[in-house]
Amino acid sequence: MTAPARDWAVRIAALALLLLVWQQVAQRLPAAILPTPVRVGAAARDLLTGGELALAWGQTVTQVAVAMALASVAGVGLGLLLGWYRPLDQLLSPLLGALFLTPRIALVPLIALWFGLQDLAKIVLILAFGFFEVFFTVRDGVRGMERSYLELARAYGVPTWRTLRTVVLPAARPYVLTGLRLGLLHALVGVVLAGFFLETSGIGGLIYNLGAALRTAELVAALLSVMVVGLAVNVGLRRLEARLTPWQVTR
Amino acid sequence: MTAIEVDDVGKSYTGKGGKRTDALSGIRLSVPSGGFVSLLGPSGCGKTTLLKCLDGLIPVTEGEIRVGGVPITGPGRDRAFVFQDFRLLPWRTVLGNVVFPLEGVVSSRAEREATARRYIEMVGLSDFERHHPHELSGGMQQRVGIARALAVDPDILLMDEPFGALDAQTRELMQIELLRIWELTGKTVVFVTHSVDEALFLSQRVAVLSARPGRIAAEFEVPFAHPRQEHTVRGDSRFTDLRHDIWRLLKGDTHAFSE
Ligand SMILES: Nc1ncnc2c1ncn2[C@@H]1O[C@H](COP(=O)(O)OP(=O)(O)O)[C@@H](O)[C@H]1O
Ligand SMILES: [Mg+2]
Repeated sequence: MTAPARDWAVRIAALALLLLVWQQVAQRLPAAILPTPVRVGAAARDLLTGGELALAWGQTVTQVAVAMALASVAGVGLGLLLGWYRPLDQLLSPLLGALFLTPRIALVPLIALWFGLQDLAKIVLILAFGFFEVFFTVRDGVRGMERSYLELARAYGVPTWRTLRTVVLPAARPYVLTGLRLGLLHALVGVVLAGFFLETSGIGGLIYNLGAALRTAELVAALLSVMVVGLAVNVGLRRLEARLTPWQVTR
Repeated sequence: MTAIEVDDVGKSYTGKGGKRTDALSGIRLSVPSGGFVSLLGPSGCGKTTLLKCLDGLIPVTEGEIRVGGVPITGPGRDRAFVFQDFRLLPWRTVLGNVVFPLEGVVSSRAEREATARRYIEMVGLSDFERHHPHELSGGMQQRVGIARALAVDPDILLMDEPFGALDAQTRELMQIELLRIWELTGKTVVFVTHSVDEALFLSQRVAVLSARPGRIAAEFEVPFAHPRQEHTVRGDSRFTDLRHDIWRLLKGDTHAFSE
């Protein structure tokens, strides 16, 4: 057997074992506490065919897209600027650091007061979760960027603005991609919380409602969908990073 | 004609907490136009420092460096630097790396690429112009470094242990290649190395630096005409004698030599 084939065999065996144990335990517990995998499977099919899951993810994806677009522009822009220009970093980083250390969830009441409970408020909350990963990764990347590239540019008389464009920006590309991936994964936390604490819509709202209604099998199915999306985002963007920056050793 | 004059140059670094390191002291050196001069010395004696001062990448703290009779104030297009670590931009192809110093200088893209291709061909990498550095061997990467330096058509090539990171065999091939390019282009070359053999095989003159603070301990003329043949030079008794003299000088100075 080839190595990848063996990996897959191990993974499938582990999954089968997990399902088996789950089935055995769940059979001895009330369905409202822990439904069996078979029931969860049926619930997942119902959520999919009934359109509930698609509707919830549809609302969420739009919000995440808008929030992450903003997070990318702000995070990459500020990251490049503060990573490159020390005085600005010294001015703004304490503030951004303090915000980063404040549990983002504590911002919810303020966000609700300022932006209401609907799409706009949710976008702001998701942004609050996604932004910092992008910003810090890009800033630290530019800051720690190989000074030797800058020496090369200086040796060949490349002016500052051109150095920024042709050296600093491309050298920061791997960090931008990593930052976007980490930001997006954190944004998923914001997504779920937005459905809990703001208007009960989107995938977070669906999870909240299913839990409140004690529809445990559907609840677990919805949770699994979040897990699958998280995994897909992680794997997909890692692949993209590897393709766009083939010289970079994957972190 | 004299290409470079180093006039009583000293360099000290001020580190964190004001700690001073004297890297160079009282350096006098003159490099003739079209000449090939090596700077030879043990690790840490200030060879890189001197070469960066020649390029204008770092300022001297004493004395003056003149290129073509004019005191230098910074890097200029009359000089090009070849780094020990190749220093290629990993996201650019071979062609992209060689074109790099021409951007913003030569406005026509076609012209830039034509120039770059000429030097890529000179270093024998025409079949690899679309490759990225991580797809090339060390020797090939340094060929790109040399092509990039030649592309700006400098009068002077400043080479900082350019073959130091290569294996012995590749290194010898690159030495022969460099001599061919030097004879072809007529550039002035200042070549830093810590290998006695390399300095003797390549250069017309070898300046030996002593350990910290770096001073010029002695200069040796290497009496072989170019174009040189490797086996005839290395087998010659004058080569062995020079080698012996330089070794003795260095041994008295330091044990930091590896060859
Ligand atoms: N940027 C720097 N700051 C402080 N000290 C330095 C710096 N660069 C080099 N030095 C010191 O100057 C001396 C000469 O270094 P260098 O020119 O790199 O020597 P070489 O190239 O001959 O090995 C060494 O003692 C080194 O530690
Ligand atoms: Mg050195």
